[in-house]
Amino acid sequence: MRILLAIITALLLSPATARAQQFREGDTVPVSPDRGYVLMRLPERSYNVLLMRYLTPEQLDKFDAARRAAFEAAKPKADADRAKIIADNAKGGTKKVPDELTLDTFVFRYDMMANVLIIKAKYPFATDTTGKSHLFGLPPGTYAIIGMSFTGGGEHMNSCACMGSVKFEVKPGRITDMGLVLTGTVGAPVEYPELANYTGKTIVHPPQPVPGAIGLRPYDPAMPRPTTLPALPIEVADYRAQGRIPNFFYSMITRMAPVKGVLDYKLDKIIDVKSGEEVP
Amino acid sequence: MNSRYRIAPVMLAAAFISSPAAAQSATSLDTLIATDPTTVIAPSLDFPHDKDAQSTYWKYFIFHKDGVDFRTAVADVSECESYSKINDMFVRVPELVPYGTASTNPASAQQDRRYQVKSTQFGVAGLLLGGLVSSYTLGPVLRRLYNTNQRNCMGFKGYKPYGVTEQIAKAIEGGTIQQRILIKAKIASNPIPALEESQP
Repeated sequence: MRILLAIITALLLSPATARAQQFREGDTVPVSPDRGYVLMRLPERSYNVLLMRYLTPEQLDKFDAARRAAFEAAKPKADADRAKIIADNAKGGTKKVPDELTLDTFVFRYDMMANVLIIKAKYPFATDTTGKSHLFGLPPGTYAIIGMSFTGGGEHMNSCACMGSVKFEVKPGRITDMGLVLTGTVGAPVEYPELANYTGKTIVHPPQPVPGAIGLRPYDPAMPRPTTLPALPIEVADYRAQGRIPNFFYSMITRMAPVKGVLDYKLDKIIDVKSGEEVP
Repeated sequence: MNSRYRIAPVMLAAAFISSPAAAQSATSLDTLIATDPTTVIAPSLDFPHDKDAQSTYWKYFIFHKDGVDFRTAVADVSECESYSKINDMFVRVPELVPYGTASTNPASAQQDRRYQVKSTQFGVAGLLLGGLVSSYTLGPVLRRLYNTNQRNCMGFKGYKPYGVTEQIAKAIEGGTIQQRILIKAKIASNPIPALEESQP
């Protein structure tokens, strides 16, 4: 019993469960004034959509400190192992000498926080003739759409919108309406003109991997809202351009297709249309 | 340093983070950009454009952009190399990406806030991390993924791919990542090569 309680406690406190919750059709949505709620529409066929919450300076400092501490803990053994290989090689050994471990090359896993949210296309909160609506509760903050994924033996990356996307604010006690997020698969008919230049045209022999396409239609009044939404004020997402992010995922990369009034490009320069400025 | 270059050091640092042989700080990009292009030895692009060569243009190619200068090309190639580390066709989604608002702590604020999240979060795919130094050494699938990201990134920047032979690709990519970046940048900024554009 104690073990079971410990497991349940660990699950409840784990980063994955503590940070975001996707509600499904028929779910009762527990309203919490310190949580934000987000409504996103997806086409009938869609990849899963990845959101990233900006970490706060305090969280980044915590991450830095943990990373540095882990590095300092690992460094003596790594140095000793390396020294032993060098010594053995001096006596005729032939092992490859690893490079000296540095903070830059240190591989670090940190389980104490999470900021990536997967919106699973197959779990709508509501379905209507125009498509599926997804509702999820999450910590307030700045969120960016960072890519697409798919489920199959775990959650796998399709591609990262590393070279341009959008971000928006999620406020507590409100529903933020994201509008319609478009995803397209390579080789499929282009259902959305926004994605026409982003669905890849490289189906050739031999086949080449090509990232899916991602785009966005900000909310407009013609987009229906589920009648079963919790009774909270609804705000339309105020999108701004999201600059480059590193390929954290080691996946294919792409960028969000231009979004009228929000996101544009001059070659690879990312333009925040609302301010008219380039974002790095 | 103009704003174009300010983006890329972050990316370059990220590119090197899992390449221990080439572990670098952000200042490495400044060093690379300051390289005298006349000291960079690029392989000859003269080769017979026969059917054998043409059959692998989809796989082996260089990039070129009219009017680009060497310094800009170094920054562009560096950034695209940083995106092009691919571990697996089906890499797992991590729970954490260390990206956010810059710290108010002056000491920490000097650091790059956008670390790479690491291998064990990616399961088996992460095991390949340490070995990714040269794209030439990649297996067929990873090579195609690497090429995909190169095409996308350099394509967004306005570069066009031109097919070359495997031997030339090997000469370009067989050295350190710094050498690879410099050679690619030199080719990209030299007069347009008499090559066929690579249709993927």
